[in-house]
Amino acid sequence: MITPIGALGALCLYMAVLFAVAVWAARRSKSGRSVVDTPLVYSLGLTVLCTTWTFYGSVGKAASIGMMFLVPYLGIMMPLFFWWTIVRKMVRIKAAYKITSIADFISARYEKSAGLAALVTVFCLIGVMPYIALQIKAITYTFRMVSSSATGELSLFIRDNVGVIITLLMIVFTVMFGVRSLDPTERHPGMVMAIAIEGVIKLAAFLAVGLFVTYHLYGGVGDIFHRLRELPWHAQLDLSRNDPRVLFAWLSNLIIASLAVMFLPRQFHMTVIENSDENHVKTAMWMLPAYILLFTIFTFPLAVAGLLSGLPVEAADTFVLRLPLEQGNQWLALIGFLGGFSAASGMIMIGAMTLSTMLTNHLLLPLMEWLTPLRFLRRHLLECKWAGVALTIGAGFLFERAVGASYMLVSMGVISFAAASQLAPAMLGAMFWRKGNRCGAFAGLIAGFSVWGYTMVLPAFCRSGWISANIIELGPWGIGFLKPEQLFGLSSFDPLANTVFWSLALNVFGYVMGSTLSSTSPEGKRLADDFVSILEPKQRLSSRMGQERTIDIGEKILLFENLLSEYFSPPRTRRALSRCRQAAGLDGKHRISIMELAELHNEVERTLAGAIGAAAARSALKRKNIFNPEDSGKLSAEYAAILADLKIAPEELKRKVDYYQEREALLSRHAADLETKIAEREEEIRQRKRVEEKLRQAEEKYRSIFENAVEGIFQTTPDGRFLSVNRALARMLGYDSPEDLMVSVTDIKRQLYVNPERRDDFVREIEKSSDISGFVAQFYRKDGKKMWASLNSHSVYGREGDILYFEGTFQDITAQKHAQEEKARLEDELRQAQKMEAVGRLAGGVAHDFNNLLTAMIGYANLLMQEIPSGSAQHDKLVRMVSAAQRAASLTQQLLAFSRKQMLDVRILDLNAVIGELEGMLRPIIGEDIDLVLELAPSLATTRADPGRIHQIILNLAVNARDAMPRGGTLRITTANINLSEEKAAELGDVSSGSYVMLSMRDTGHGISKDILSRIFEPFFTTKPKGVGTGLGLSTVYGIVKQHKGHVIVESEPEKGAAFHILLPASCEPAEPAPEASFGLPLLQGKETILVVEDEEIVRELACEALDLLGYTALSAGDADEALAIGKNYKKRIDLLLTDVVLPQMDGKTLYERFSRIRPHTKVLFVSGYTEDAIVRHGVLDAGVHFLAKPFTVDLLAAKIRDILDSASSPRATG
Amino acid sequence: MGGARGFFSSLEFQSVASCTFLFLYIWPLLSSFGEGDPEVLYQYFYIVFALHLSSLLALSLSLGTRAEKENGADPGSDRV
Repeated sequence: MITPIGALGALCLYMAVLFAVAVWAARRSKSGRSVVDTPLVYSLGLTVLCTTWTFYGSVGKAASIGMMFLVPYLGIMMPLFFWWTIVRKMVRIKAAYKITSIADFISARYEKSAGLAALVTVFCLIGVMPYIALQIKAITYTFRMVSSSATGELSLFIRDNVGVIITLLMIVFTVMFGVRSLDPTERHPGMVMAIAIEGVIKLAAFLAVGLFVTYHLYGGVGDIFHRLRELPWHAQLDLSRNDPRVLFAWLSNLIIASLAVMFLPRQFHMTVIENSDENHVKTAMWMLPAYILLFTIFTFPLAVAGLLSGLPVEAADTFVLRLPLEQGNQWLALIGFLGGFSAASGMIMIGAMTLSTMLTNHLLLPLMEWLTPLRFLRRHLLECKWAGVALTIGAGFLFERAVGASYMLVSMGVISFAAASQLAPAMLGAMFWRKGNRCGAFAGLIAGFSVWGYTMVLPAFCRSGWISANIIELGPWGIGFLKPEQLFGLSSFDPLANTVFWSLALNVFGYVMGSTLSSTSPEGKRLADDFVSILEPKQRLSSRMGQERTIDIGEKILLFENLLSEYFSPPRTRRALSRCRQAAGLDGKHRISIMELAELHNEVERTLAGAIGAAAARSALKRKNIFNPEDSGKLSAEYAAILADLKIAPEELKRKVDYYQEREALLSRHAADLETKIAEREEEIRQRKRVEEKLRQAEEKYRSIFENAVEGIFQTTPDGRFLSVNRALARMLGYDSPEDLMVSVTDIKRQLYVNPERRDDFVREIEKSSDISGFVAQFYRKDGKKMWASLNSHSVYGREGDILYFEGTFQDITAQKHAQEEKARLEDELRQAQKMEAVGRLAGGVAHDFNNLLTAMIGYANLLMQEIPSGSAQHDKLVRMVSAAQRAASLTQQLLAFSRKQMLDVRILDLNAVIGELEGMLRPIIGEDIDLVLELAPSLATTRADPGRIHQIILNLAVNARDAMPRGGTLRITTANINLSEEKAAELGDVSSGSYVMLSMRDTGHGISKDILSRIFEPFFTTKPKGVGTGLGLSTVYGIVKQHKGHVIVESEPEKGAAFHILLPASCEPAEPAPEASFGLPLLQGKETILVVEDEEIVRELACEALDLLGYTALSAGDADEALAIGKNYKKRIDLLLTDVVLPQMDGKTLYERFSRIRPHTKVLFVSGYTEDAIVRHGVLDAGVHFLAKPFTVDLLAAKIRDILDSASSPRATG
Repeated sequence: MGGARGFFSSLEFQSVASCTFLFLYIWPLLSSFGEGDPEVLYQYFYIVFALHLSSLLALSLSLGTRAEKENGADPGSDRV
């Protein structure tokens, strides 16, 4: 025999294996490789229906009432034809509303009534608890049967307390398998797998026993029935055809079985809640009856075999185990026991799990809402469910202890089946009758369960001895009309038929009347529509697209979060909210519309309903006031707008809408809308094309302006790249095209700016003031030439205030700049000319009077020198006097030279020859410390110049070079032929192009600093110590060169010496020989008569005295009138008129003209101390006019007079 | 073949079949069939049971085709 320890060990081992498989299946499912989501497992899961009532009880019933045992199974078969409609509806409703139990289903349908859910829960608890008790009783009883040989204390303890042990084990197993997580809508793949395996095991066990008995103990089914006929009482197994009670009992069994298979809480759970694919229903529709067929095919043979074996019919419930035990086949008995245990445990676990969920969601949670001290339990819902499991199974155990002994097992099953069938009107009405409402459901359920309790539970209590059995026999208070099992005098029904008939009749009546006589709320109508039409194609009334999103989702999320956190842990709350937002399509949105809020509200409600049931979820959400008054107003308006759009009354909205017609209408409307939109879109396209055309024209216009602008237009980046340029700019900068410019110039600063720092200035200024105008800079053209340009530009900014680029205009102002420079130069020249004019006037004024004085001084000194022997001390003093007077005259000459007013004695010169003549004179002047280097061009062109002035230039420059080289150095004098181009001439400024001879004098002295370089030609400007220089040297050089139409170029840097380049116009004529010097020759004398006209008395007397000394007859006149008078009155010949150019009343020229009329043969010699007078005012230097400049020496006068008198005609002017 | 499937999947067939099998299940009670012979009744009910099962199988198979026609390639799929 199997010991209790062995049997318990076998049970535990079996459950451990089962648990391992369940865990494996759960993990597979979690990893996405589910072995549970198959039609086979789903169908096997439904076999939880086959409990010990099937495993043991059916054999007992077959032994007592023959084939009637099969009626419940036939009843199960009946609704299967309609499962595709009914179960599919339930599955879809479950998915849509996250239904967790059958109580939740009913509550959700009937306005989410918490009261209704609680009522159904209580009824289910009352109805299912006996069934759990039945399972516990079966396990306990069969455990003792298979382990009857108890000897040890432990074995005895186990046998005595097997009920408690089994109860505790079942509580633990149920929690482990089914209540490990809070959300029942998260399916239990592990438990489903366990139930499916148990389905296989119990079927296999039953078949094993059946086969053993039928084909081992007997010769098959035929043999069993053959032997049955030998029994005298076998007819009792026949159907009693003439007894209407049998027929009603038969029909009652059919009805309650057909309803129980759908509405038993555990069946509902396995059929609906655990369904992962509604297509699995199709498989279950045939696999479940096939399973039942197999399961029951040996039931009747087993029952008959048991009877044939002599076993009492009262023990028929245990034939499955007794027959193997009777044959000593303990292992088969153990297998049978495990099969029975499988049948019981599956039911207990699923039943307890569903009941615990209902208890928690529909009784405990409302209680928590009602009783504040219990609210802390919200965060312990899982533990509450565990307690619910313990309570349910414990209650079943206690019930079995209390009343189990009064019933055969099969009776308990019938009680549960009958209870479950009371849910049928409310359930079927929920899915198929729109008018069914909450009141109807309440009325029907209360009526049905009341009758069920009165006609079925009450007799059970009576039979258990708790209540007087007279109630059954006589009715309460002796009222036979109220006999529980013959209610209202219906004596022809057996007790079950009585219960089924009256309970269902009153249930349906109450449901219909309650629904008909009471009104349904709009919410109830909406739910009714949803439930009834759940299989119809849905046309969602989506929110209108144009609806404004004005609701801050964050605020609402906080409310939802607060609500969910009352039931879930923070991470779970966040996950749930995230799922809800995702499901409502609100991920990433910050503001939502009222319809989107409604969608989110629904999602949260569904999620919460998954944990606490629909009614509690609705209640909790109401409590949170998610929709404030404003939201509610908007929502109402939105729904009203939708209904108005649909033009249909709300209550008729779904019932009367013919979907296909509506769809067609909608499609037509949609098509019309589309056509309208297409027309609008075409109009938009036309408008856009018009705008584009205008834009294009504007673009062309502006492009034309851009391309054809005279000014350059540009866009450049701050870092110095061109973005765009026009042709004008490219042309100005010498590039072939804008593209050429943009490709060639990649760094404006370094490639274009002559002074790159100016680009920095440009950027700095434009960044400072955002625009800039008249920015002038010098640029390089492509050919390397420089140009001046004026820029007007502004910055273009980006959205973030950063400079994107500069754009502006570029104006070529090179000509303007040159004009300005020319103007400045001319102004400078004008100033210089005015300065020289002033100096010239001064010099001229001084020269006129000063030269008269010097003439007298030099003249009288010359006369004295004639009288005093040469070599005497007096003669030497006179020589010094004359020298000083000549230096004074020289000073006057320099002033005149600078102001270019001196008289030039120009001739064709060879500069090399002039330099050669001066070389000997230069060396002493510059001193021994300075090397004189001559580099004279061998074929130097000639030039027209006054050799005396050239001497003066060379000497002045040599003296300056010497002074610049106090410690010695090199003075290099070079000559060269220069061909000055127009550009070079333009660059130099005031010199014309052509051929020049160049005289360069370069020293190695201290050089000239830049700041004084421009001032060196100013008169009286000197850097030499006081008394060393007059400041007239370089200005004299400059004046002489300019008077010769030449040019002076100075190159110098401090400490690098200086170079003066004198450019004189080249001549192609050969050089003239230098005149022979007459200095030192004897004075030329004569006998002729000379009239001296001089207003300066001292000069006149000097001239007369000198002429007397020379042998001439000198006549003197102080003015023109006196001279003319002499001319008229003097009787002798007057050979020469020697007259000053400037006379008080009449100038010398006029005098000569008048004098010529009196004496035509008289020759004339003009003298003057101021050249300009002679040249400009008096024109004495016309061709053939003789002129002698003051101061003059006696010998020069003598030579000049002799020259004139000896010439045949009036000689030319000299000076 | 398609016509047969349509027939099995029709509500009419389901209703008629249900009523027929209901009648077949109670017919022995209304008649004298199998009277006094449990084996005959046993065989009768299991034959009817088997017929019933076959009808359900036929209905199940025909529902697949119908669902495909109604809903496309994924008949009635509503995973939850």
